[in-house]
Amino acid sequence: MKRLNDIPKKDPFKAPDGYFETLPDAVRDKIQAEKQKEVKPGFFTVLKPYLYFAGFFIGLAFIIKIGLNVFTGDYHNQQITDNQTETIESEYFEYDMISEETIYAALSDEISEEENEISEETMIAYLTQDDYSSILYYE
Amino acid sequence: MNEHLDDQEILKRFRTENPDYAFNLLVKKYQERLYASIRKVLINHDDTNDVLQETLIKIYQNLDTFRSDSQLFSWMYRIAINEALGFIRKQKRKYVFATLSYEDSLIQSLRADSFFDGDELQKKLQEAILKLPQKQRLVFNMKYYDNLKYDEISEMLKTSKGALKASYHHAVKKIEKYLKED
Repeated sequence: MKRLNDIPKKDPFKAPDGYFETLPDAVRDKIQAEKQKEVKPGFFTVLKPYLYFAGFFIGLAFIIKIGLNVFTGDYHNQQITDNQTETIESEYFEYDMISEETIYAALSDEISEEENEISEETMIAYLTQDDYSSILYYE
Repeated sequence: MNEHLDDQEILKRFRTENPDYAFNLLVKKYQERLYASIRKVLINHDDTNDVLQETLIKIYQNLDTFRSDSQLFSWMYRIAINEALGFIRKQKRKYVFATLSYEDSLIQSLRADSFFDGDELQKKLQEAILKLPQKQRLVFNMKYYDNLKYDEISEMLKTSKGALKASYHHAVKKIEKYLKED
């Protein structure tokens, strides 16, 4: 009948001889190695701040450019150009919105007027001519 | 003489004078206690050595953030146990498709351990402890060997004191049952 209290409480695990004499130095070496890693940054890490600077100046230049356009009047000219563009576009749309029926009706009116003009004159000339060949020809 | 500096004095030196020297004093002061705590969780010396070194490096890197209102060793102990548990998690992933479980491999390691300093009864006790579920094993080691209070264990494992007491009680019963076998 074994109870836990019957067993002497002791730590049965031991370390190899001399282990605790060498451990502090081993840890110190590892810490130094970690510090070396921290000191030697990678290529991108070195480049990163320069990229940030470049991005910042490009952004700044862009903002200044827009600001200059607004305050020197270029922006107003740009607005006029835009208005002109709008007018052309609206005219184009108006033309585009003419229905096909309207176009056909306009064309057919022109044709019928021409036909009427021609038909009256031609008809008189036709009725008064002696040569019936054309009549025969048309038959 | 410096070996007997108290924690506050070591911390003061770490922060103001020579951090490497002060840390060396800290390692010498607590290395054996930390080793013993990790070794009882991992059993194998080589694994314990790896985890202890990682623990000490983390302690060095974070010692500046340590707040003096808690016990320095409790803080170091907590880092050590967290590192050991992290190591076990990684090991268990390696054993997912193995025929042997990680716990069985620890028992084999224990039986073959040339650094084990105990008789057959001590070895059987360690086997019984290894048969416990992981959390029960951890609670048992913390209470029985490391003499931690339930309050400290509760804070470390984020478990209520009642649950810890029940866990320890069950662990003792299981161990005694295992010892009665044969």
